[in-house]
Amino acid sequence: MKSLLPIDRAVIDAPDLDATTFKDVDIILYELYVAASKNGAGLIQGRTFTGCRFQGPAIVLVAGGTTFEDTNFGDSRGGMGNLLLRPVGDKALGTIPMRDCRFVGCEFYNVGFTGSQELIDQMAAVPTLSMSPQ
Amino acid sequence: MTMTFTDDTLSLPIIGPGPQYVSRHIWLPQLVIEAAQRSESVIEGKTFTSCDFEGPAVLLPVSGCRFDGCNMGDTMGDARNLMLTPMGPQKVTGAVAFKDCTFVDCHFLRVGFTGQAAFLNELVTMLDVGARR
Repeated sequence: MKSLLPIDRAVIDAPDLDATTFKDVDIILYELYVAASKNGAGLIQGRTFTGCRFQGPAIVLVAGGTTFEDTNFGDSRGGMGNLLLRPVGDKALGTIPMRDCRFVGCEFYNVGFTGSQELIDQMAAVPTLSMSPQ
Repeated sequence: MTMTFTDDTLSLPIIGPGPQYVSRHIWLPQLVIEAAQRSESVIEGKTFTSCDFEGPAVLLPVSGCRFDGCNMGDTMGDARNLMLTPMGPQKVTGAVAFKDCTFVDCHFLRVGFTGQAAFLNELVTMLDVGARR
């Protein structure tokens, strides 16, 4: 599969935050959450994002059925641990939960990630790359 | 990448630079937006009295922060539900950083907390004691 990264297009705001499919747009995560909350959902569910850039600050709670392909999780400063947080209790309040979402060719800016120990272990194993100036 | 926040997205009253905030409703993402517009990456040297903070956000007290008489939010039965432990020693990404800030009689809604182990332990103890009263 040809990588969609890096995303170097101009900023394009997502026109409809209630959509189920997003392509080549920029999304501020808490605006996405607020839109979902207005519809009565306390989580982002069943969405597909392709070629999208996400802006925090936010901590995403990666719940069941969510997948990442060809993803830049952000500037890890050399270690994926710098993007990860572990819930101390059974819940992770203050985070933005995402369930059954698919991310393809997306980039995250100022976004941290949390979830189950299994998820954290998987993300911690993601290799980090240093991008050389062109 | 630099995102542009137009006036259209700020439908709430401007929070302003403070440094004293009294009886304000503060949507944390908006506080961050306004700080970013002032080229501030950390909320520093502010005093919040009787303010309501709303997330979703995870708050990171970097240093010199004090919480007096605050309601940290609905713990859903366990104070630890409000807390997240950073996995990396150098950096926490996605949290809202506060430095040298004082919170007096404030209320937090949909806000989590992260930081050094000592802070999280202190917070658990404080909330557990409060819950037993």
